[in-house]
Amino acid sequence: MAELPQPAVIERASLAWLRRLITGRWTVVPAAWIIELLFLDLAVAENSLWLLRVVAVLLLAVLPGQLLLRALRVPAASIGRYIAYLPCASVAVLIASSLVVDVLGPLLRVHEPLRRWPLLIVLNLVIPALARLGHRAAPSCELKISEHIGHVHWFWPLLLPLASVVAAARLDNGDGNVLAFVVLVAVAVMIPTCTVLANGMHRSQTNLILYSSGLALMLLTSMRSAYVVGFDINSEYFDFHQTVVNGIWHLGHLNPYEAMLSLTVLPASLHALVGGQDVWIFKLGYPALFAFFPVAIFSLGTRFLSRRAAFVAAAIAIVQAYFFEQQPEIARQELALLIFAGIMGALLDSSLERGPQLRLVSVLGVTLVVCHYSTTYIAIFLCLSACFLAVTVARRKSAPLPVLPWLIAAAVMSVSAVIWYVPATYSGSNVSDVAQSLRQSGIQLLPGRLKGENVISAYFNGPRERPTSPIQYERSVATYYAEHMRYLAPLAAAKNPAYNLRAATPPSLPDHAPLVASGLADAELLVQQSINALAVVCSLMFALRRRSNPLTRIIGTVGIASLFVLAASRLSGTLAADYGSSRLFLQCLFILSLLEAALLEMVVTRLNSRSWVGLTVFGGFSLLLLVAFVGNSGLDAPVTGGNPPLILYNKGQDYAAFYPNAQEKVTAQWLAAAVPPQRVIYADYFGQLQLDQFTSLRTAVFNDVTPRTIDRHAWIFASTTNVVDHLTWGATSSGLVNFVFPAQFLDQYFNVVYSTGSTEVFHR
Amino acid sequence: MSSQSFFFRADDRVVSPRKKIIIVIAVIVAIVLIVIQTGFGQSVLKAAGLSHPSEPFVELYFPSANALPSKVPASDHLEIGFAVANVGPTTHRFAWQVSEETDKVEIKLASGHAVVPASQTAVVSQRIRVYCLSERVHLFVSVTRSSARITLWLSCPSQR
Repeated sequence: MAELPQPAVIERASLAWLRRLITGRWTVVPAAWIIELLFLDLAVAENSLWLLRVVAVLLLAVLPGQLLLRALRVPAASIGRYIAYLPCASVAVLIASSLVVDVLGPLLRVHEPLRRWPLLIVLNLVIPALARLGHRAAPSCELKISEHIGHVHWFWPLLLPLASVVAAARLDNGDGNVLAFVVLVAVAVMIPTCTVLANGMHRSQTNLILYSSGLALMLLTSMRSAYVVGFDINSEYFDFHQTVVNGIWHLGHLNPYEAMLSLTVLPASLHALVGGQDVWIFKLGYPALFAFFPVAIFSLGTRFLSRRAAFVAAAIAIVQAYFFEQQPEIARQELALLIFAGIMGALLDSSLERGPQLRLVSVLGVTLVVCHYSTTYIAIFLCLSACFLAVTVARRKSAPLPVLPWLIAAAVMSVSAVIWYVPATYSGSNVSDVAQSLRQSGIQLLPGRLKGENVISAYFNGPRERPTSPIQYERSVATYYAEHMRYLAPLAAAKNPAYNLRAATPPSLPDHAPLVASGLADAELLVQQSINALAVVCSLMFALRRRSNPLTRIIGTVGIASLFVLAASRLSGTLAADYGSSRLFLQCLFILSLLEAALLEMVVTRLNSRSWVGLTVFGGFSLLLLVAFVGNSGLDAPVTGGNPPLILYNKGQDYAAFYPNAQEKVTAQWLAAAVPPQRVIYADYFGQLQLDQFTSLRTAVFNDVTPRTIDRHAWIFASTTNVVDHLTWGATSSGLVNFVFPAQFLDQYFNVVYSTGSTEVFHR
Repeated sequence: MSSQSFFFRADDRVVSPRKKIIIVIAVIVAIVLIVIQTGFGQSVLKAAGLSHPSEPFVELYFPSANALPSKVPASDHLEIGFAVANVGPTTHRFAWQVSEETDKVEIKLASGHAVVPASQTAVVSQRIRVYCLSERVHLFVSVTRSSARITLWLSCPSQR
């Protein structure tokens, strides 16, 4: 340095100083983190700009998780191989920091702590604290994000979610569904193509394709309408919105939705930090997080399978309607399943040392508890069952299976659940509801089994009853109301046969090729049942196989436990009524899909005298998945007709039931403002969803909009489907019954006190 | 300790071609995000069918829906009040009409117009004469530019 001219010496010295500052050799918190934190502060402070909003989202998704994982001493290589750890850890930090702000804020006289500045201040304390906790971590724990991004030309799949957003907007605006079809076709083409090419593709490239495909499919559902679309999500959004409006969330006696931080504190904090309309957190943010679910399946699969087999496992999840149509309508479970994937990934991660593994599992276990009840219960059951089965299997084998992490995970989740659901929020009513159902109705083994039908046939057909006709429904509810709701007084004129309910035909597309439709339906059923049957065989085989390694054996035991859960929900009418088996299916599929792919791989390995065998087996299976995808997505609707799917059409059952519009919003809000405290409101089964989403009208709202059940002084909310399509629904034990909205009766005996032309409120 | 983080890599001295491409893409994305928030960007989105102003509509309602009359007064004259809310971006002049329908015969009772600015509500109060031609009369309030229509049933005095 002495040989250099003086200015060069100063410049070199200052550069070295800067480098040491940035690398953190002089400070306990590397300056790089500080600079990123400053960027985050800037982005959050000016979050009205879309550019800075995007920067805030990226930093919130990555920075907290990166620092938490380093503080937990999780090696960067492990994160690179299982990238879902990163969003899981970020969610954990954001939930914890937001909860701290929420609880401590009032003590510091901050009455609305879930606002931008209090949250940002605490993040400015939490992030350096995490950096400080991890500053002695080994260099192997330094995650180099750029190394996992891969090549620029791998990014093209990210255009798919963008296309989905555009497609949903165009469909909403009445500009057609061509782009939505293009997205579906692109994903359909991707499944067999990537199956063939997967072994030659880089892990990051496959991750990007799976993430983008999954997200694109979910956005086709979630981005429809300017409001939330679906069933449960309406009530979820109401609790989220209330938290946003109040700026605070309280512990105490809460209903289960209010007690879930995934529906209250976390989305309210994200909204405060990122800005924009709160509804975008559920419509865009949560699907973006949940899209890591198939990526997690692939990542887990690559630990013991070829990339081709692991890709097929992820594709099994992606093609399910449960994944891309139902999950975007259940916000709490989107987040919970992501965390569940993180927990399973950590429990099955042999690259983690025991300490980091237990710490990571514990952090994610507590996060899962505050995110969603049912997912937690199933996770606890799977962990305990896996331990039990592993111990049982190990008695017959020489090598013991590692059960301690599973036991600790179950213990952490159980203890946290008891604390959170009982003294913290008093919200364990869902458990007592299930217990009460079981006490009252028993287990109801195969309730849909017909006389003379064998058990296997009844199992595959599931719980079912003969469809109810509108007249049967009308009589049934009239009798029920007369017996149990004597305080309601229907008009005498309601018994006039002229007002009897009449069946309505929901709009459907014409069937241009009945043979194709029938063939596709049969093929789809065959594929779905083959997947189920494969799952049974694989779980037993991998748990009991003598030559399996510990990883596949423990996965096999979790598979058996998953099958037990699925079978119980299928066999018991009571459990099926209390918790939808379709929602269980996706959680269990996380493991079962891997086992199915593993079985295919085993077959290929046995027959692997030539390279084309693998291509044929996996390629053939991916074509089966393609058949399932075509049926599940409604891609075949233009040819085979039937019920038009919401992701492609502005008509059909789902559109009529779930698609809210601006008129329905203002009508619901007017009704909420107009009705007196002592009132009776009627809204049909799906009209109630709009009241749930836009108002706090929860009590004394009846869903049986029939002349013989409507109280003479009632207020009746009529949605666009009721007024324009003249269609309404009634809920029966055998499912929903369609009938003509009783406008004739209402027009004759009630005043129309509010109207937008497409919505009305009746009262007299 | 390495300084690798999301945005920065301290030990990189030379920017590789790959990083250059990433930087170029990031800059393009940033410019696009800035532009679409401008008036020009919004007009481009509208032209592409991505941003669509919601269709304007009318809310028509009885402000005192909880206390509506149920009988025609003995004088046959009734004070009827209703509100017209303009849910749209521009001011509109709404022509309204109150009519009576008895045995499928429609009698026009009153009409007028209300100028309602964007996102505002106008309350109309009108004294009308009701014709009791049967046991019950059915009053209708409607406005132009909308299919919205509110109704009121009134029973006639029994001596008629």
